[in-house]
Amino acid sequence: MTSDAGLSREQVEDLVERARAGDRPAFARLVDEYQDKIYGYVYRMLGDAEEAEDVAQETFLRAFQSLPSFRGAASFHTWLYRIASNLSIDVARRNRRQNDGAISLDEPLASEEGDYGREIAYEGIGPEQLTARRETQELVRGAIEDLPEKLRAVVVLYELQGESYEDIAEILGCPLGTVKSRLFNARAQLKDKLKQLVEVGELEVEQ
Amino acid sequence: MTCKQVRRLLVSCWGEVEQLEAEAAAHLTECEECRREAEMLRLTHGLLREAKPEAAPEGFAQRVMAQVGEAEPTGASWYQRALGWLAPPAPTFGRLRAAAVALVLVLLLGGGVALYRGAVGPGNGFSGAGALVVGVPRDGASPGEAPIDFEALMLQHETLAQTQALSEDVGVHLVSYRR
Ligand SMILES: [Zn+2]
Repeated sequence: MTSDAGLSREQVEDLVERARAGDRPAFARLVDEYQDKIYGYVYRMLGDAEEAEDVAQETFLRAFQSLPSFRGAASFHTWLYRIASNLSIDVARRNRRQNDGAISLDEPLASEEGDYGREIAYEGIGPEQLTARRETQELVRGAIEDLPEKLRAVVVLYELQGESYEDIAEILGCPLGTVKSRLFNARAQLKDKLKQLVEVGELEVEQ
Repeated sequence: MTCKQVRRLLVSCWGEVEQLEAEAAAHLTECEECRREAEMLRLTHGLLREAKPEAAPEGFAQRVMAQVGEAEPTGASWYQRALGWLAPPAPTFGRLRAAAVALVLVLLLGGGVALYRGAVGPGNGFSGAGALVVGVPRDGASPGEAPIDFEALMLQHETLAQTQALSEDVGVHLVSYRR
């Protein structure tokens, strides 16, 4: 299974070689080929269209600038994913730290319910989600975004982007066993979050 | 088989009961809690599969290329563009390129960038942050031939990797590098 969908491996290698020599149209062809993959991944990692645009653009810009250090040991698409991973995990961490610092929630609950509201927020379900039904996919997206970055990266790459264990190990620079255990934990945590949503009536289980 | 063991198996197969070994499947017929876990896992998996990746927005590739238009491979900046312009890749003109590089470095000196002259060799004592030292041309210089005049250019915030890439780009051996 090749993940370099439209272009053959040889075509990609040829384009990379030309782009490395500064051929911009060749690089543009590679951007066309991989933009959806990279943007889709980064978007799921960050959950924000504007940030996703910035990080995905930065990914391609850095890729172009670092092409001389790309030696073709990894496939081009895992190399791109690696740049995107490093950038988006950094941004996601920075966002989380900023959010951790601020205890205030978007819509604070009444004071007598304060502890309750905060506890729920900590579990990853914002209070607004208790008062308004959301689109199912939005709930799923939220559950993914609530995962720790490293679990999120694995689950998005494997379950949504369809990458193999081996490629994910290369993208994230970790052993295969780590990929599998992170995937296991991510699945279990996602299931727990959705279960919570079912229990509070946010999500309906179709029989 | 304990609930805990069964649930581990369930996570691994996304709650698809048919994929379970007989012992675990038998547990499910007796344990409602685990059945509910299996159902939640199937639901989670189903929702994940429905989650279509977002496509890149309209004009994304053009915006990338607009940025790339300003950049060079190897993270080149103005001086690299100047070197590239004066010394375009042309393997048969190794000496010419080297001469052009030397010329550019002299021009840079004129531009107020500190330029070192002195005996350059590996490990030679240059000081200052990110000193870039370019040496003999990669091609063109025959063995035993004296290397062209070395030039050492003080550059702020240059990493060794960038410097190596630059030296490759302009077709010279990197003789020495010191941060
Ligand atoms: Zn059980």
